[in-house]
Amino acid sequence: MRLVRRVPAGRRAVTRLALGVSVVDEFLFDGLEWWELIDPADDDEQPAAALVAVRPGETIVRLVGLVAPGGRTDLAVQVLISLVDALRAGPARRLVAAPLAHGEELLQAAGFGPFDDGSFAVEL
Amino acid sequence: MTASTGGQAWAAQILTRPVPRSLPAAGGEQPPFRAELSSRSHVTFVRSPGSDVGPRPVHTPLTGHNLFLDLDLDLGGSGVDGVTLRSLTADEIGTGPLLADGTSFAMPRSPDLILSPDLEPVAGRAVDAFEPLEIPQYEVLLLRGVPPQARPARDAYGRRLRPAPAGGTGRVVMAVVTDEPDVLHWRLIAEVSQGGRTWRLAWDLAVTARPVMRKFVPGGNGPVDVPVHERFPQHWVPRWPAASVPLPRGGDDPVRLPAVRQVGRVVAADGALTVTVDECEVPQDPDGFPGLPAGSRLWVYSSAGLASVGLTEVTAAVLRTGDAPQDPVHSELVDLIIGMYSAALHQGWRFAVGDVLGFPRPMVIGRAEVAGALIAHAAGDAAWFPAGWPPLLLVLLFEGEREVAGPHGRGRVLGSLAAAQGCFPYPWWFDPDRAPVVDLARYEGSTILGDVATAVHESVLVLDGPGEVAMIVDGGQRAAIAGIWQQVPPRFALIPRYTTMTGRVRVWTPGQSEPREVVAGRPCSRDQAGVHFLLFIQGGDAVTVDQLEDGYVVGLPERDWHAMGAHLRSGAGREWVSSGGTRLKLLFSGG
Repeated sequence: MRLVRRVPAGRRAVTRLALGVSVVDEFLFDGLEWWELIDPADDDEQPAAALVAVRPGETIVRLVGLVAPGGRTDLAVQVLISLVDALRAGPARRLVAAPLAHGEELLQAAGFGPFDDGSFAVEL
Repeated sequence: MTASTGGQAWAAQILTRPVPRSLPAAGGEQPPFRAELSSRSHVTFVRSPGSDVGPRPVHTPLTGHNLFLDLDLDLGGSGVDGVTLRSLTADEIGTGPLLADGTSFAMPRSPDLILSPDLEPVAGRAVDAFEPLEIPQYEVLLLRGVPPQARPARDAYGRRLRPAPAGGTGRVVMAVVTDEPDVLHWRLIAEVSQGGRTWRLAWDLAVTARPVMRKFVPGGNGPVDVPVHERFPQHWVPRWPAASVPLPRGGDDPVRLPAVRQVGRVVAADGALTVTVDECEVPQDPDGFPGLPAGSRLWVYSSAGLASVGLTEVTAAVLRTGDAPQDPVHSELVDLIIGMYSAALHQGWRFAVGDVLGFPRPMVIGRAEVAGALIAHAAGDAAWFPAGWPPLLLVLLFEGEREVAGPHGRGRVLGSLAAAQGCFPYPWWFDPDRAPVVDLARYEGSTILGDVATAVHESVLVLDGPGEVAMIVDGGQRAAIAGIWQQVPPRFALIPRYTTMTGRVRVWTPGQSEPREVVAGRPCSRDQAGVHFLLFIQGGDAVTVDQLEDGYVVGLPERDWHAMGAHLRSGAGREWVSSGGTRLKLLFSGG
């Protein structure tokens, strides 16, 4: 059972490193909130399985990165589905991802699709 | 569907065709600048070469096609002076029969079915050569029963869609529209001045509105003609009624072209993104640059490549001041644009007009600490914005401005910037030496919006005029607005988009007691102005509408509150008359 929680300040570096997240977008958004998908049974050194970002007060969440063994698309899809399930317990209404970064096929397998506004997303 | 005249061909590898000038320059002297006209159409009727046609095929473009007038300086290094497009006029020469041997189609993608293998490479070349049509700066209307018009292209609300041209290499983009089913022969005349002289340049052209496709519907009553824009949707259809806007004749709408030179270029993202830096010098007669003295220099940062990650290209301009760094490339503005690219690529972020970016740490430009940026139209509202630069503008903001623009809307900040810098609807450059237009400490204790929940929505316009306030909702978005209405508390402010369509907007600063407005050089209305909020309060026995700051406070008894919600859902207009006699109108546009 995985859950989504706000990234504790002390884990930001670990999370970023594990996911290879580009930090340049932090240049754009003041107060961006970072949320991570974790297994509560794991210890604090274990990187998150996925990371999302949300602007304060918004209900659209952005997929920043996810961790899955190389080539294991099936596991990546499982992570994404877990992420969607966990996010559904919160106030977020839509999870947006970047097909160019994460792979359109992978995202489609997890239920993502194109929206009218040009985004590639899944309703929560 | 089938072509209605002759056969069809995928021979449109060259979509943009030059048009030779029809009149020599006065006195036989060539102007010292390049002035070339070319035509781009996604479908043309073609006459094959022959004894009556000549050695080249003759293409007759369809209504809604593009014309490009390229103006360029060629002064042999003797200096730079502005070229002014004084006027564009259209004259009808006459009509004639449409003679065609076939049609030539542009192909945005390969057809699903190609009947002969021989046609595959032909179709492939047509796809490779596909060029989209451009949104025009000017519409040339050649309609039966109406005098020919060449006028700025506007949307259904009357806003200019694209700026008039400027820049060292100016391109004027036109769309030609006719309802003539035969061939209409017409003449485009451009008056262009440079160095105190004016040249009158003319081109003879042809256009037709003959339907190029017919549709056969099973069980129908024979074939039905399909208008060109249904099959080729980029062909232009005017949205602003004909004869609403006067002709830009006789220097009525002159556009000064500033001197521009490229001073830097950054290639990022493995070549996928380029940020170009142009230095732009405001010309001696700065008609098109309100608020800037002649000789001012700006660095203009333009992206090329954001479109590859689903964004619209952006631009940002900085006025050079005494403290400006000497190296334009090493600017955090470049990092900002690269950051937008990265955020879209890696996380699917989108940026649209009205968005406010708040920087986690200040961007330092000169001595200024920039706290954020507001995304606005570069084209459209700002008619003087130089052509060729991207359509979205990053308006750089100080901290207080950023804090206000987010919850209280871009209109309040842009209106104040317009008033402070004397440039309607807002300055497109950032002056590092300017004073902030929002003093947050004074603002927070003064505005009525300080403790009010707000909903900012770009699909709502609010205009006031004598005795009335009109709230105009984009019909296509009324469900979204109705949804908001269902959830709002009984006291909330609806923040509309920056409403500049009449050329007047309300402005307010703390301490101001009387209504004030900022006005365009040539406003479209004498007494209607865009306002920046409607503060709705549920309760009371009667409808009240009171002007306050740069908006209105609207009191709605409970039954009227619910009626508002019902009308927003149904899309039916409604009018309320307040106890003071002011009318509140709910209107819907489009959709």
